[in-house]
Amino acid sequence: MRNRWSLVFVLLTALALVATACGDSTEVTVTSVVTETETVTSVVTSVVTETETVAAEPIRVGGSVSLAGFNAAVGEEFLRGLELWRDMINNGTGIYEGRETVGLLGRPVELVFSNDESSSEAALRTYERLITQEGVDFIFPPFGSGATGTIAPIAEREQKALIATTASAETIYEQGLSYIVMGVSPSSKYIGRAPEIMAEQGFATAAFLTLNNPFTLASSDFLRGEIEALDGGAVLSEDLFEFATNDFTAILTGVGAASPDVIVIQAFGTQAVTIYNQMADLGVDAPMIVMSAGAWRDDVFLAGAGVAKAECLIADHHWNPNDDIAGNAEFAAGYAEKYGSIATIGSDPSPAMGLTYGQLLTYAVDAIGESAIDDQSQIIDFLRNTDGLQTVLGLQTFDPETGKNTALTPSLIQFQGGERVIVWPPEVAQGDVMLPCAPLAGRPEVVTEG
Amino acid sequence: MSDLIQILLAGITIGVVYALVAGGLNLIFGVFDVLNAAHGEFIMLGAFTTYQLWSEGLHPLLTLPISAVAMFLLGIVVQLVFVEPVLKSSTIISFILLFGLGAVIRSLTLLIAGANDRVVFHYQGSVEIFGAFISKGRLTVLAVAVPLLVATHVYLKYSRLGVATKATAEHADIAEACGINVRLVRLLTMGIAAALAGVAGSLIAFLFPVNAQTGFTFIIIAFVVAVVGGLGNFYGSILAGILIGVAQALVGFYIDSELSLGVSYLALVVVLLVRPTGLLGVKAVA
Repeated sequence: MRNRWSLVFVLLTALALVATACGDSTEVTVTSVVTETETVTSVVTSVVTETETVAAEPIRVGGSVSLAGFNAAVGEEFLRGLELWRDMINNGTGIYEGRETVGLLGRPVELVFSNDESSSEAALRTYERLITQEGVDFIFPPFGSGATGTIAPIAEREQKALIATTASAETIYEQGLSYIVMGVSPSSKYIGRAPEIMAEQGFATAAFLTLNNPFTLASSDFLRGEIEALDGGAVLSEDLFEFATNDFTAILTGVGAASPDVIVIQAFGTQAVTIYNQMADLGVDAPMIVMSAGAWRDDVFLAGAGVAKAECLIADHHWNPNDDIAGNAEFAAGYAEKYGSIATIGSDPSPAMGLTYGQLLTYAVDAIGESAIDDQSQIIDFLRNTDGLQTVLGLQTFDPETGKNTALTPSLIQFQGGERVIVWPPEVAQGDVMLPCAPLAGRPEVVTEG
Repeated sequence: MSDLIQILLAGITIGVVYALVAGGLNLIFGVFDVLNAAHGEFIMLGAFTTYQLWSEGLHPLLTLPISAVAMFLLGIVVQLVFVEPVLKSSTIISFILLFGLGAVIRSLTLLIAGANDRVVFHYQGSVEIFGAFISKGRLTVLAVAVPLLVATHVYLKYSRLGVATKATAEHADIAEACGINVRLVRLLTMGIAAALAGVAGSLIAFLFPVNAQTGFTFIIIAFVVAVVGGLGNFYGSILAGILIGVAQALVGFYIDSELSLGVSYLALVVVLLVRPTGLLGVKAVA
């Protein structure tokens, strides 16, 4: 009997070790199978497309994309942005003001990518392979701060410029890396202006629900400082959770007991929906609710929470397809033609992040010339020391020492009447902030579709 | 007070789901000494069944019997094809075999369905009980899981097959000598355990997003529950499931949400050190 219990213990320990050490390893195993197929398919597709336009040897731009898993929706949009950049540059469509050249360095651009299924480990293997075996000319970033932080040391070691337009976590750029720039707003600023609205409305207290992730932690750190600087400002409760967390009852009960003026939710995708719906179910509420990144997508957030519950929520806004910026109109038109309707104001900026990567790379390569391929420190030097590069996400300037973005600060939208309306800051606002919000729990239940 | 009630109800809800899963594990181990490492895949496939049928327009509750029957049949196939041939080998052989089978099923699901989350957006809103809110989804889970556990108890205690199951669990050779078809009992036991896991998966889909990893996530806790309750003891898994569910909720609320999962592993360590046979003692189906 004793032997049998020992065996059971050993087996369970082994299982637990597998579970903890290899949380996504099974996913990774499958990924490698999918990966090869995706790569081959994408290369073939690209070659077929591009031989119609330019006959020269293509510039190969490679990376991993998240077409399944946690980042699937935004990952696909990011890839679309990259593909549209490729199409625009191969067709000679203006990538930035005054540019009419076809191709990059006179050659067509070819994208080479693998599906990492939102696994940082799979992304790591992809970049190792693309750089050391396939010899791509440039790399584009994977989706998100987690994966970008994982592959950044590879880019550093292999001296490949990493123009990180999906990685907002400042901690990545505080490690002394010399081959990276942040082509997107710092995560601390995503909803960093929310305390300004709190001050205007006379709100002083907040509760944070924060995913334990570099992106969201940086945002919470910044907000905490701003809120505590308000008159009577305090963060009453602060809870971290993991990607795997799906039952928020304990956290939300604590938030409800704290009765804050503002609830700040820092989560993504279906997890953001789960939190929001459980808040409504548990009657946990506040006069003002703010969400970072989790409310980007209509097909996830609005479909999951419903239009009525989304009403009044304040969220970050990065890209407006209607902005009068070089390349923006063509990009929006190209998107609509190739993929269907373009995103609306304040919704998922991932396609724009894809194009922004291409715009920044194009600026640098055009300025440097052929040597940009072999000495990519020049790309980083150019970007870090050139102020005011216009991209569809806005004017970009980088800290010369760290590569952090010092120019982009998202405005804030509020869901009003089922639409996203820019409400902050006042100089760009399309409408007034409507607060306090009606109780979440009393709103109509409208969700029936999957 | 209302906060405490809310936390307790949440803990009990998740606890009965753990009990459904761990109860199946314990039935299998109690009857034929197999640790079913592929049990999580029954959960995941049950959840996917419910999601798929719901997205086709079926009411979530109506998906439960379909999920149960589908997993019952799959359980029998798994028993016939994978477990019976290695039954006379050591426990570790069947464990590794089933672990591999589970990984294959999970990988195939990833390939076919992708790794995206799937959400059954059906149960919205809540009911107030003594100032505490409990969501309609959780109430539905309780309303299904508790009678199902009771029904399993009735089956084990009062039906002829249940008595045969108990007899097989206590001594298979003697049971066989008494005319009990032990092979049939094993098949039914695996089928019932898989059906319970399938329904548990369906209920999980009522509450949380599900994906190909869902079963793997829950099976780890279910093994903990099974050991804490007493491996092979169906009723131990009910007791331990509810205790661990409530403990997780209380720790999450009163101490730190990041520690809520850790409390179940702490319980495992304590039980293995203090009472290695689990809360309700040595192997016994009932």
